[in-house]
Amino acid sequence: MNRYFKLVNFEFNRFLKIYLVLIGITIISQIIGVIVKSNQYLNMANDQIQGGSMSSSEFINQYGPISLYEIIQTLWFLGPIALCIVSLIIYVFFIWYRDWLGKNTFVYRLFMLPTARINIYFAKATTVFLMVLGLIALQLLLLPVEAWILQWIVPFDFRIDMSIREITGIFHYFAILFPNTIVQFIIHYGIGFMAVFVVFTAILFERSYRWKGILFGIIYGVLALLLFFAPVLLQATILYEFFYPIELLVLQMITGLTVIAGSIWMSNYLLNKKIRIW
Amino acid sequence: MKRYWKLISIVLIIVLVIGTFYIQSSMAASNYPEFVIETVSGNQEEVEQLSLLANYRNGMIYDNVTITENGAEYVSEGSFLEQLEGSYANAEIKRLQEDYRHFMRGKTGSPRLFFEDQSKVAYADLSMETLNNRYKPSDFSFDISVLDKDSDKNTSFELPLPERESYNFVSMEGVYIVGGEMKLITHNSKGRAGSVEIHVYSINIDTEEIVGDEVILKSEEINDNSFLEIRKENANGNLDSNRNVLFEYETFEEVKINEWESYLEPTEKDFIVYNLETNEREVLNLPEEIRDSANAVFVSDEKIYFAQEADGKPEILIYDFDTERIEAKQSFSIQSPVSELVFNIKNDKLYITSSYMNMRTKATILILDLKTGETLYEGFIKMENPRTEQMDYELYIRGTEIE
Amino acid sequence: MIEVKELTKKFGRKTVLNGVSFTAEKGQITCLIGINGVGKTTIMNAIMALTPINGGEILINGEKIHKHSYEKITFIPDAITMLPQMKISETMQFMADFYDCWNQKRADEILQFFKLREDNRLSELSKGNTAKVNLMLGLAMDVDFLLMDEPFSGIDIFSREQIADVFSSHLVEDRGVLITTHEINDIEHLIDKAVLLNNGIVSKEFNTEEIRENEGKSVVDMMREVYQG
Repeated sequence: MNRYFKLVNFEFNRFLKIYLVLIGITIISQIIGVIVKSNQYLNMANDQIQGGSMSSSEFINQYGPISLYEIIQTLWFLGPIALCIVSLIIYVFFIWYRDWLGKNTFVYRLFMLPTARINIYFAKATTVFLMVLGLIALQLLLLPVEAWILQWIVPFDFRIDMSIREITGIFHYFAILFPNTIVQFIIHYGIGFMAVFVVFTAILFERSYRWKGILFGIIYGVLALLLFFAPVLLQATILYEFFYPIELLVLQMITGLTVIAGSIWMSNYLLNKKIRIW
Repeated sequence: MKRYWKLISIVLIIVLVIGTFYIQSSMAASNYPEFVIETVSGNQEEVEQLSLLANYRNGMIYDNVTITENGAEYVSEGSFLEQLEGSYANAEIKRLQEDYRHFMRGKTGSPRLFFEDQSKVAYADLSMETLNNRYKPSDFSFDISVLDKDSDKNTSFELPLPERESYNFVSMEGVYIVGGEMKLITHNSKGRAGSVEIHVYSINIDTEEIVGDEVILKSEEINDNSFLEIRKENANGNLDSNRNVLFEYETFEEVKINEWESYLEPTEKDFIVYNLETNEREVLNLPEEIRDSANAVFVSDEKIYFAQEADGKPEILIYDFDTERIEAKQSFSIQSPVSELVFNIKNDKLYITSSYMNMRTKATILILDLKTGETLYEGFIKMENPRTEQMDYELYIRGTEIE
Repeated sequence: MIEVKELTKKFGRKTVLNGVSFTAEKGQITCLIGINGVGKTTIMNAIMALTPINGGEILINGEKIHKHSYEKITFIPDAITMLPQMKISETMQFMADFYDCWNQKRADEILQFFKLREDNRLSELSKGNTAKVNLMLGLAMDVDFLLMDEPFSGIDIFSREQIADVFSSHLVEDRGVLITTHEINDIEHLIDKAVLLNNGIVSKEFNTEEIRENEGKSVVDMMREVYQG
């Protein structure tokens, strides 16, 4: 096992407790959500039908059958997802700052490891990414379970069964998290990874130059953003509609990879030459 | 190794779950139903050229689909690159982009901005300034590009629109090259809403000058509660070169039902043809009942094809420019209002398709020979192996394309 | 040999080190002496490449520091460099994972010497015991040079004695030690060389034995001359 993997493992285990709590909250909240919403719907149906005001087919006509599509748009579902997203965004910062904070200055240890310091950067980025993808996988595992619970509670006539693909396809936010094709998946999460690299570099600017570094970090972020979107900005302004879609895609991939490479290079420089321990 | 089991298991879970999700969704049977074209009678080869552009809808599921005799292709099930290229961009524009990749760079928009004949490809659009004045665009000018196919020479120039200060808005209706001269048809609105002029600008491509500006249609003084609509009737754009441009001129009167509600009552309607070669304008002399109820389907150099309803059945009326009257009528065995049909004409063949289909409504496809009146093909769209959850689908056919 | 040449370090406009030069030899205990705030810790950090410097050069065995140097030289800062939630055994596991030069036998020996239990968590330890673990983490590495920053500060008297004992034991052996302290009394008899810092420069660098034999002065005498005279 080389030191990079050991670092990933170390970072991973350091966050594991909070991560498991996030997973637990997600599972519990979403499953409770399915049960609560299904029962609410059934109670409403029972009231209407047994109250004699309408037949079951009239009820379905008027209120529509229930499906996971309705349930995933509730707070039971989106709440934990939002919580996970916010937690991971905080984690992107926390993963660096906690090494400096507190009286146990772990950052001394990290920077005195007999390995290239950029491996620390890669290890932290890898950990963030594993955490993100882990939650994505969790949601993909949870959806069939939830579909099954819905089927178990609500009778056939009152529900629409949807495949995982249909659920992820029609709900807008899910379409961002679970794109349709593997190529888009790589593009979406590639952009995400790029953003993590840029933020990490901005954090290292701050850690190297402190107050001035905040400014450098912001400038760096803006430049990275401008470079990444340069083809689109050109397309929208002076080279109006000049590029064909496929060309735009290739250009964006080039600028994206340039931003990633630039961030790694910059971070390597900062870690070796400019970083400060206290 | 044992100390790494948590890390190794999460990596495995991620790879397995996300991998399975994408492998499964690329292999799994489609969530969308398969539609095929089922032949009832006639020569099956006739339908091979036909593509139906449709919207599929089932509850919350919605997608664009192209149906050919080979089956249905859904946009969302196409590869990422197919989706990127825009699966429902106009087929003619796509072809132009493939054939003239460099010339077509930076040129987008409706097919009516493009023109193509044996020797040239042309493009013209209106550019305008919208920033200076929030309420009214200004500085209208023509953005013109012409490609000479033989010499591969690309000419681009910009010309300010004559008298451009006097227009509120100008839109491009058609681009043509007739006898070496470019003709641009525009829809110019002036003064208060509803005051409209249709212009034909003639442009000398070699000297890059505007050599003519003719108003071929103009709204007369109309009173406060009436409205005018002038439509250029040429559904296929102008990519099929054609010397006749057809306009539908229609005025409406606002009729008040009560204080809050009103509707528009058509008061006057005319079909007007402008001949790009002779620069002549002509109001078609049609019997009143035809004029009021017929829709123009297609205009060729010699004929105009109108569709109208007779006894609940659609029929096609063929107007001849030489004789200046309706020369032929053709009716067929579809029980459907004209408004629920999609018409297309190519190479003297008429393609008629129902514009709507669901589990109970059948969508018919008819192909007729316009010269002989003979039915070449009859068929219908068929959903293959319907599953129960797909029973409530709706299919809207919004257009057809013929190769 | 650790060679510090013309080391300059600024914090903003304030120059803390203004061309500091000295050496620390293998097999000797060198003590950096200075009143608080003169940049002793900064020198240590600079040697370990933990802070950028504004001028000068630092060589370890004739080379600039690089990633493999951390198997040859280590630094024990005045606070422990492990996470509070870790057990002592876990800190040792971490060291064994990342350092080829980690010597577990020596680590066990030091734990025994200090009477520490390896399943204790760092957060549960007293200040003195934390300092001992911190010391252990550095001493158990088979390195050529050991840097220690104020190993005695804020520690009770018994712990201090124990730690001082370590310096004369085989645990230090023939390694080079660079130590900073402002409480010279505990280790005066142990140090081979003293470097006195004042106003951002080295005002005296001397061999304690030579000074004692030739001039009959102690380190404290020398300090008086520099800081009070």
